[in-house]
Amino acid sequence: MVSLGRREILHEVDLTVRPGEIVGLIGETGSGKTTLARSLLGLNRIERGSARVAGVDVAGLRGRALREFRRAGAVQYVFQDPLQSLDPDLPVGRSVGEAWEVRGAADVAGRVAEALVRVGLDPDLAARLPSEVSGGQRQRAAIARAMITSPRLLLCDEPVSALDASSRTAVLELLLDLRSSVGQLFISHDLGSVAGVTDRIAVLYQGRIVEEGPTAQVIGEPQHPYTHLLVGSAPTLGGESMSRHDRAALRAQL
Amino acid sequence: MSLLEVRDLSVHLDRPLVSGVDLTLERGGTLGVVGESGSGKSLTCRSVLGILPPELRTGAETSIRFDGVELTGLDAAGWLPYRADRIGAVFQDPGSYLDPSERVGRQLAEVLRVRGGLGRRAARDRARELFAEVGLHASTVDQYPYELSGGMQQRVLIAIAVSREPDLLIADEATTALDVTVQAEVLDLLADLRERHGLALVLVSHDLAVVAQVCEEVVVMRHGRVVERGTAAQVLRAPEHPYTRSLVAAHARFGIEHVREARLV
Repeated sequence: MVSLGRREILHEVDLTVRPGEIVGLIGETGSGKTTLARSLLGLNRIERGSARVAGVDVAGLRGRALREFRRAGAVQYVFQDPLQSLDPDLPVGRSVGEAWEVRGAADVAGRVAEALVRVGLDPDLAARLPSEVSGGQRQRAAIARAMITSPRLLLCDEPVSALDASSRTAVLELLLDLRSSVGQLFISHDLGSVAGVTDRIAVLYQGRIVEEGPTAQVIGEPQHPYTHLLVGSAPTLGGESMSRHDRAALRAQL
Repeated sequence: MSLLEVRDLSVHLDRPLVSGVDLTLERGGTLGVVGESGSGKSLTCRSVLGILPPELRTGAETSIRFDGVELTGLDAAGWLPYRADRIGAVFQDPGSYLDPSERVGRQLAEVLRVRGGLGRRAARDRARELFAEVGLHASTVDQYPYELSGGMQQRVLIAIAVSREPDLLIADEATTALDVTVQAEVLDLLADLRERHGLALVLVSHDLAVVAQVCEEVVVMRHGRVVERGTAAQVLRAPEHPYTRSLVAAHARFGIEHVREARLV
């Protein structure tokens, strides 16, 4: 359970992300999905229950222990807007290599170049400002920055929602490619957009996980009416996936 | 005669931003315009609405005919009977088109009084009717924009846009910022309004699938030009331009279709 102020935001949430797995966390505005992600970084206090990341219970960490946990970088956050993690006034390479620079690591420039290549970027990009590269390149640079601490868990919060179609595909391919290196929690409001990258999907509705299972099962045979409505609302190329009438009937059940 | 005929539309800054765009829309028809940011889709809409930013101009060869009348070259007074009255529009960010300090019902009633010539009481009653028509509870008229969700704000703007009973509604990324279930509700509403009022609809989106829900005809724009056009079924089933093909392929690879098709195999 996570509460903000005195209001309980998340209730009895059980969720597991295994190494080598991408788990979709689907929820709409106000469902608690971002609160859940922030809790895993210790940014929101967990009142009851535990959140173990790579063997450490984040719920039990306070003060210095929590700061050290965050600095170690076992959990990294990829935001919808990459400028949340790239300093707009610094060359991209400085933001990407910041964690190494802070630790006084040797050959930071060389490592940054490697990290950029790993996410499919030209190492020369390191010298440019975030405003001088495309949105898709910025997001890949933000992922490179997240990956340099060799995280065990990547929290991707709507990582492609602000991107154009072509960069969206490239970033999704990149996340699939990184799957063997890092477990990922892929947070999105749109079940349709994450179907092709996730192994499992958990549906968060009003602070509770109302359905969880393998992606094909959740989409093919949704059990909860809200999941059914999400599937029926996702635009597909085949035209309407559900009639207006059926959607209205599902809304009435919620 | 078509309701809207755009011929050889170009929009220039110091270089052309949009070139050679032709669009045709029949009365009561639906046209989807698909493209990513910078494709020129919004500049095309703004040209049809006569609201291009002042530093931009349309080319000398451009013709935009609405119900037989040439709109290019109209002055502010000439636009009055067309924009808002016969061509309505809604955009991506509903919050920025509403006055934050005014109850939303009054904002609609003001349009009905000033543009429609209704009296105060008649405008208020009509505002309640229009709110009901777009699926808003009657008590919403007394609320301020900040009290409403994005989906409700967009419904208010749709009510305002259709209040003058236009022949054409342009929805430019009108559902992009909304949750998917709310997006589906708003698309359902646009389809309902179209059926009830014989409204022609231009639906602009970066998402081919959104357009496929509602539109019969589709044009795909890239770098300021139309790269593909046809019926929605043609464009989706047999896309010809590499860009359109990549859009369809992305859906097949990452979208819900991916899972559906895998299950069929």
